[in-house]
Amino acid sequence: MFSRRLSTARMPLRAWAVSGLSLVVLIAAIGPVSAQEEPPMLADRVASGELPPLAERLPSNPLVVEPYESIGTYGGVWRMGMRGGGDNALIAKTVGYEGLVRWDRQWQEVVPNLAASWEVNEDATEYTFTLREGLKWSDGEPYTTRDIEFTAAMFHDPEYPANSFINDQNNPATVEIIDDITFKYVFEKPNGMLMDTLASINGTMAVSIPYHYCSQFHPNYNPGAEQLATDAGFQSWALHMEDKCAWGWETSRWTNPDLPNIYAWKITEPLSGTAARVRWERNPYYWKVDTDGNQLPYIDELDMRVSESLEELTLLALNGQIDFQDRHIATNTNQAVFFDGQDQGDYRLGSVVRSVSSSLVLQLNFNHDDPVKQELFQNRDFRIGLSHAIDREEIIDVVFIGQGEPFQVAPRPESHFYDEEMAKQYTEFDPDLAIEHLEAAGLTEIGADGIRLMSNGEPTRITVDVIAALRPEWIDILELMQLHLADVGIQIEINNIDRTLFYDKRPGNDYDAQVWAGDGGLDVMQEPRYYFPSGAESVWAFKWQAWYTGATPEIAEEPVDWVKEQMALYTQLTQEGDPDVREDLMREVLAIAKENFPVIGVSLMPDGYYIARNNLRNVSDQLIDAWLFPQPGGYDPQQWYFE
Amino acid sequence: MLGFIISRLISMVLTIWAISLVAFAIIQLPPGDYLTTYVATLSASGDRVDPRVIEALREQYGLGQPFIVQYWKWVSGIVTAGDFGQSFEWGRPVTELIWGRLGNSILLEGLAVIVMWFVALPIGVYAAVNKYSLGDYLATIFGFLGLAIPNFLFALVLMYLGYAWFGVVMGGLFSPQFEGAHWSFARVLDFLSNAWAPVLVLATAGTAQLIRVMRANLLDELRKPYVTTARAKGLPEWRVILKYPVRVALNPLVSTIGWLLPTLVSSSVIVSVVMNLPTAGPMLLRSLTTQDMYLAGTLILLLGVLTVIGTLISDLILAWIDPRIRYGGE
Amino acid sequence: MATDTMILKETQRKDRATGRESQWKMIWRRFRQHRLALVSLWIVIGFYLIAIFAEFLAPYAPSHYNSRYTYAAPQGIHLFDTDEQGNWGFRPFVYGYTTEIDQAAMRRTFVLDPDVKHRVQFFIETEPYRLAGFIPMQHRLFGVAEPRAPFYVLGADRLGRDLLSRLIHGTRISLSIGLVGVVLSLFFGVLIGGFSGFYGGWFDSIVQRTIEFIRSLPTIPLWLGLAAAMPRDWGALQTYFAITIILSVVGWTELARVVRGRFLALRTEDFVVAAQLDGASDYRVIMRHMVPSFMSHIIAAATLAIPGMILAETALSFLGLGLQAPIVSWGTLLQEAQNIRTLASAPWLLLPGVVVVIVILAMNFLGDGLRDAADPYGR
Repeated sequence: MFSRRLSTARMPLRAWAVSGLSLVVLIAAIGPVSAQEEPPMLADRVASGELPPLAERLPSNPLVVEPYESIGTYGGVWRMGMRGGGDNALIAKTVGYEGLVRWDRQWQEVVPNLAASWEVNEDATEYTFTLREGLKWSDGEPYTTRDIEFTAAMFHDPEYPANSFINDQNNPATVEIIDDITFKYVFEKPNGMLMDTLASINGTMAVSIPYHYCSQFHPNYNPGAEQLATDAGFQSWALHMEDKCAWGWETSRWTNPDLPNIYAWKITEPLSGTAARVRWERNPYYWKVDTDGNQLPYIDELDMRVSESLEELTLLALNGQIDFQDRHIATNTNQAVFFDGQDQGDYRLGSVVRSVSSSLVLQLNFNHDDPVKQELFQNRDFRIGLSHAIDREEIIDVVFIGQGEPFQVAPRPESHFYDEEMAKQYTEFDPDLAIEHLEAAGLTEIGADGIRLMSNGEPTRITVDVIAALRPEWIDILELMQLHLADVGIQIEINNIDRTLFYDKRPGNDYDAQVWAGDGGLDVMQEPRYYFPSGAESVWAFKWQAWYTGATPEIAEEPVDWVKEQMALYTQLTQEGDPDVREDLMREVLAIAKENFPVIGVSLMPDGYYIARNNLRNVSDQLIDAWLFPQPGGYDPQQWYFE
Repeated sequence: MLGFIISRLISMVLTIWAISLVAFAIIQLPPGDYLTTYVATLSASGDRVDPRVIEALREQYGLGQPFIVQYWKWVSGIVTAGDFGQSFEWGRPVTELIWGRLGNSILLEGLAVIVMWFVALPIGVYAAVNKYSLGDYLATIFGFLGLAIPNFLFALVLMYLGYAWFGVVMGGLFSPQFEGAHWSFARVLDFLSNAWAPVLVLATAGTAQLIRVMRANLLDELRKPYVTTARAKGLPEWRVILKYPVRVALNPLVSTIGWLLPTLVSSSVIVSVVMNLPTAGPMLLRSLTTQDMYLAGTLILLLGVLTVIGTLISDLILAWIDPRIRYGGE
Repeated sequence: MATDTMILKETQRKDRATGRESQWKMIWRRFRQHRLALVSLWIVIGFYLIAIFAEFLAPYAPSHYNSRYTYAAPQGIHLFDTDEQGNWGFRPFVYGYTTEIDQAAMRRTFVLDPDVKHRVQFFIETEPYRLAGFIPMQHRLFGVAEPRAPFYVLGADRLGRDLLSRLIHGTRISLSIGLVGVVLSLFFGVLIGGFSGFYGGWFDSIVQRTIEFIRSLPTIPLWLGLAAAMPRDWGALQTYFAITIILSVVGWTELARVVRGRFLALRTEDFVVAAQLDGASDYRVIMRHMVPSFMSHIIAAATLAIPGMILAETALSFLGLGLQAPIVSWGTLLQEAQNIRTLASAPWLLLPGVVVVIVILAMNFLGDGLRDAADPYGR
């Protein structure tokens, strides 16, 4: 196995890098950030004068990253697998997690990143950031507040369709430049959540558009921009700009190798409609060092295999041809295979904690057009009845081979919002109790085929929309639930549909119930979709959320009082600067959700796993997987290395 | 002959126009558009987009316009400027994306067709001449086995065995160092070393049918009086068979040459998805599921055009092979 | 081989001598000569019987599961055993399992336990069901008596459902899709192709262009578009019929083209011209003179088309179109099986693939035999 690996590039390094331990001792004696040596890959280019020496490439105060296990050695290619166009998020999560600030590896605290420090004023309307001095884009141009201002200007430009906290219509941000490295975000209203947003993957929006390269595509900065767009075959400058300088982590951001970035690696082979792989090589101007002052990253290159075939990716991983991966292939089904293949493929499995609470959330449509169903679904007794009728232990046993525990949609045990009572209420399997509650909800009559009749004499038949392609276990869980609920006289029909249809049905209010996973298990405050109707993913009360967000006023409907109370509390929360007060407010929102029990959960999502080659070091044993706290980006893959 | 060709060319243009219309209609059949799919995909990964942004994009892409307007924009672009539109997903002109993929498809499927014919025709002739012999049965059984095994299963099993027995992962059409390279002898060799597996899968599926039809047609011919006459005149047996019966028996086969392409594209979609081949198939499938309409529409249109040309060619060959078929107007 | 021919010649001579045997009798007589085809006929009949009596033959309903036996390996079935008195005889039984749960690998491991035997009983009483949808029944052909005992002759799937039962139920859907689809295609194909080839002229041109047009659309987007356009609230049965129609939309064109080609070639043949000159009606010319002369080809094409339909159904399911769980067909069973996990540790779930192969082989041999037997020029 080892002999097949391409390790020629790394072999000479062994001589250079003394074994980790003695190196640490040596450096510790000299002191922090000592004379640094060039990463070997760049040595020639520095020697030839093509690149300036390391000291000139690094900021004066580079970010020091604490290695997870030990100081590493340079070199190697990190091989992964991705799935083409729809998989732009994989790159964002792996390479693209670089904002002003970031989360620490425990997802607890906001720590510096591009910004070395920051200050917040009393009422949370002004945030002052100081960038590192001497930061550079990957092409060597200085990174300054000019870039921050330009990025913000792009988000405010109505013709350039992009969104972030900067152009949030309820509370937009303006940028005030103080000097080259100091600037302010100024808000009209208090914004208590800004640091959380900036530290999440959404924070990368604010820092990602380079003025020196991208201004040429914008007519305000370059009068010839329209002509440039026409020459390049685009209908407008905005389309041209989107293609060259896409925001956030849009697919086209990874299709332009000329776009300078601030990531640890820069693109050498871009993603395209015909690409078989996406390749990256180290960014010579990357601004992070290890505790010995060695410039990161340790790994020279990234090689992402673009594959439509999950089977191919699975086999590549089994065969030891993927160095680190969990996305796409680390499924429930594959776990046994990957477990068995560890020796042959020379890799190990690590654990991944999912940020979702319940493996499946049943969302009944509170705003159903049929008044009878609307009343029934809004009836708390009805939902409690359904919940008691589900044999969760059996589902856990069958679908998750005993992993997990009965769980409602509630903060996960790892969260400090965890409330055992909320997580466990009504999870007990008790058909008699279920029937009691269903009868209390008015379902006393039973029809000829054993199905309870609703107040209009129709049988209680609920069509549940699900996208089996997304998570195969959903359909498995639903098939079991279908049998459980049939025992208490409720019929559910499983409607396995395409993803687009799934979304299309929402504005048309054309559904009884939909199924999704329990987002917001760890990111409770940031993702409250099941605790109250907070946004378009709150399918259980789509019209109420429209009333709250104001995005689609034509379908908005005024919610009931307890929901309005939650909404008021959460609005207050977003404007609050004090983290402790925010937590208290969130607890109030949760308490109301617990009391009213809007959606039904099944079981605590079991941990997932990742696959890492045995020679890949410094990978945390346990990763948290969430969208807002991306992994592996959040675990500093820059300090991973091959031994 | 000239008149025949001209009238066929005219009807070909009409057919292509009809194909463009239906191709455009097919991609509009599913509810929603590219942007609803896009929002759905983002949502699945936990990401979110402001509805205003979507509205702005919809405006830019012209997705809110009526069917006829969108169709007219597309077709007039093609006719006047050779512009097949933009791929929404990639923000690139469609033409930039498709040629490489179409080329790979034609190469792979062409190879499969050649393999199929080279294997199937001799076996078909042999099976017909030696009806009910052991060889006939064996040919039939192996042929049908190839036909009966679902493509994706065969491809999957092949890949798994490659891994389990040889520690090799089959996938793609080129080794990494040749992926972006220009064609050279080394690249051709590399292509062949990767392409044998998908070609095998594709060819096994089609060979049985060719053997069957060839055998059946030839059997029909062999007992015609002219064969007996030829035998009676003392022609050597192989000449008796090859001279006319085989040529006539090829007739229904030839008439389907043009259609091999779309059939192969469809079956190769599945093989290509399983084995991650950079052909038009997976791109078509993906653009259809993401409703990247100009990309999908162009692929359908071009495959349609290729088929129509293929049909024309097969009609010409047919007229040439079987003198009994009249081609001109009566 | 030589004897076969002798026999054949012998019978032919007799037929000619007596001149009384009907055409169908002759076909049947010739058909029986073809051993492989005869065997195939019985296999195909067998599978259609399975499809009809699925509820009675399958030990369980397709959705019946047992949470303790996910991915249980096949038990096989043992036919002979000794009873308490030590007498050896026909007493079918299956062994029980000992189960280990491996949390790290997230799986159960099953080992057959020779100490535990579950007796297999015939005409076992079960929950009431309706055979073929309308005959109320209370018994199934076989099963184990103990209610919680495992009975997985061919193993279990990821939810602990009996593969054998699912296969049997899937037979109904898959076989009927093929049959209905081919009947539809055959009807349109022969009708339209025949007219087109016989009359020629503008009708022929229109038909040709239409066929050319349909055929030049790659089937995948056609299927994808049509499948997506199906109304959302259609039930399983409606979807099923829609799928058959979608399959025959493409299917008929091939037959039509083949038939037309034959007509074109035949209509200048002497015997056709002679019949026309004799004043025979078009209908008579087509049905009496032309159709029999290429009957063989149509039969060959039709028998090849049924498996084509079955395979198309599995392909559609693979792409996530067509039939979807919880409908059980061979296609959906294979779709659930198409992952590395199955290949590596639950290969029995690929059995639906083996069944597909068997049925398709049988249908092809059957078509082959029919073709030879129906051939009016037969040796």
